Amino acid sequence: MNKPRLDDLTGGSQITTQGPGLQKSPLVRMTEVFALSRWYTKLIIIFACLLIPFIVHSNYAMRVIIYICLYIVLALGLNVVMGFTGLLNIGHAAFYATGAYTSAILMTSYGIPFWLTVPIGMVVGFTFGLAIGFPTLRLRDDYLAMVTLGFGQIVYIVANNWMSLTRGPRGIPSIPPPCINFFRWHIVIDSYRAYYYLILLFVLLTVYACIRARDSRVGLAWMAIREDEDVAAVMGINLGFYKTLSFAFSAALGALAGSFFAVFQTFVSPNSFTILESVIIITIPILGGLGSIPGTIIGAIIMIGVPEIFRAASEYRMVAVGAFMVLMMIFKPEGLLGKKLYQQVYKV
Amino acid sequence: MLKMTHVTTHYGPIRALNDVTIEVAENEIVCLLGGNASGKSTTMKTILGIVKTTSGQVEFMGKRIDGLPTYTIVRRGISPVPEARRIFARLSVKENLEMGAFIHRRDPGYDIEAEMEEVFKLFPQLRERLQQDGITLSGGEQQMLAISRALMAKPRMIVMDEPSMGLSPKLVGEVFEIIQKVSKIGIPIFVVEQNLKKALSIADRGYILNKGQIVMEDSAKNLLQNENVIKTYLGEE
Repeated sequence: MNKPRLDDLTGGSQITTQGPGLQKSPLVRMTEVFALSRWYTKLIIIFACLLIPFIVHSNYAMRVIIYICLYIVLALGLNVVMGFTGLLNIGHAAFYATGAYTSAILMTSYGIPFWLTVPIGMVVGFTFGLAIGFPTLRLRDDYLAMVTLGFGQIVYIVANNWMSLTRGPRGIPSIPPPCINFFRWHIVIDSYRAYYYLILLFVLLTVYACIRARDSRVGLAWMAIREDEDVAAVMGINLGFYKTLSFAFSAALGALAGSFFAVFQTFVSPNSFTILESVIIITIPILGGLGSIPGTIIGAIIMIGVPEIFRAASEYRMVAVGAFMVLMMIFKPEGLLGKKLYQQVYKV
Repeated sequence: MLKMTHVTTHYGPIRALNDVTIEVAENEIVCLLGGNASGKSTTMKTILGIVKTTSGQVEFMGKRIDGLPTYTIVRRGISPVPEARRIFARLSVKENLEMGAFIHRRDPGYDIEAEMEEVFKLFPQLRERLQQDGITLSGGEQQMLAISRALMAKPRMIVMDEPSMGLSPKLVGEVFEIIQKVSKIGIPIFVVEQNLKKALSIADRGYILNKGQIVMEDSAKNLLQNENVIKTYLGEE
């Protein structure tokens, strides 16, 4: 800087991220060597994930791990709307249900193979996302939240009452396991290990899709909308288009998780998609840090895994989870890995 | 370049602008002055299509823009520097600049790196802050970023809403120097301001707005000397 420093009104412009004078601690250097952006770190993580079924032998533990993965897909999908675009959606379970029912109905009534129902389910989810995004473009914050809440209820009620299609509260049983027919190979996915690899594939796809979306122009537009909707509009962003796109993208990922849920449970009923389900999904990205992909993954591990570990404590564990969330909101309101909130400073 | 003719704007039943006629020619700095609640920001919002006109028309480069959605108006070449800077707080400086260039995202002839270099010529401080979050900048730097963000769009015209708001007197001077610098590149600037003396000292022409009506229009020099009228309408100095 050759110019004299400008006086500092809002304070805190002293942070310099780089500079030769800065001595880095060994711990910082270690984390840099194994940063997520390094290709070998990614490889190690994927390899470790592939090894899990060979290390974990109990079926119960595998089931929990599969559930964690399922919620990672759901939470990452929701993170697109809540974390990237900054819109509150309390009806994510609706998209989850859409995918689950699409797969279930197509597989049981029409005999369509699972692999085809997944993209169909995602397209249906995408359409539902457009359907909810489009009429709610002009709504903000709490109003939008109300609409998504209502939408979640509508899907639940429709699933509960449209007897001819969904069989109502009786649900759709005996969904066949997916199988792979490749020349002479015939693999049926019906063991925990196989299900785990299937959901791991979905997790990796979702993570990849989210990273690509985040780093694209579209992701930038989403984050601009999150930071300041009005200014985003005067920067030339078509708010309606990008908000709807965000909803649709998120819904497609929700439907992906739903398809897996259908074949994993082999049974879908409306009770799996209540408002409580939406609430559980919401807590994950908030806990992990809105907008952060690794944060959301860690959030899912904590929110789904930890209560299972303490299952012995029965009902008390939910008290502990509640207390933990309260403490989080007090001491780290931005979540584990979220970007710091600036509300206190950024008042106009 | 920009022409508002007999524009009237309403917020529900309340009339915010009444028969406002403003013109900005090429290579000009035009300022719109007025006290609180005189309709300055509404004028900005009307130009940008955030508020719709009830009557009258807004023309930009000979074509009507009133009634168009904001993003279309911005794509035609009007770049805004919003009130109180309003940079994207948790996006990095680089991302803020990229957002400024958003309207050119499908334009193959647009080189974002080259455009950033152009901006750094005006604001060398921003280069070393590229990776920092926007909010960590000081007030003056944020204002520079807001202006740079507008410049990234390669605008045909810049509209500024109160660039001096919330800045110390020394910084206000710097900001107005920057506005002059930007104007010398050949971009006409329309500034909405409360800081009468500073704004008129750099502007070519000025309009004075009171209760939604243009009450005076003259060259900046004449307005500066005409202190009596200014005293009546703005009640200051």
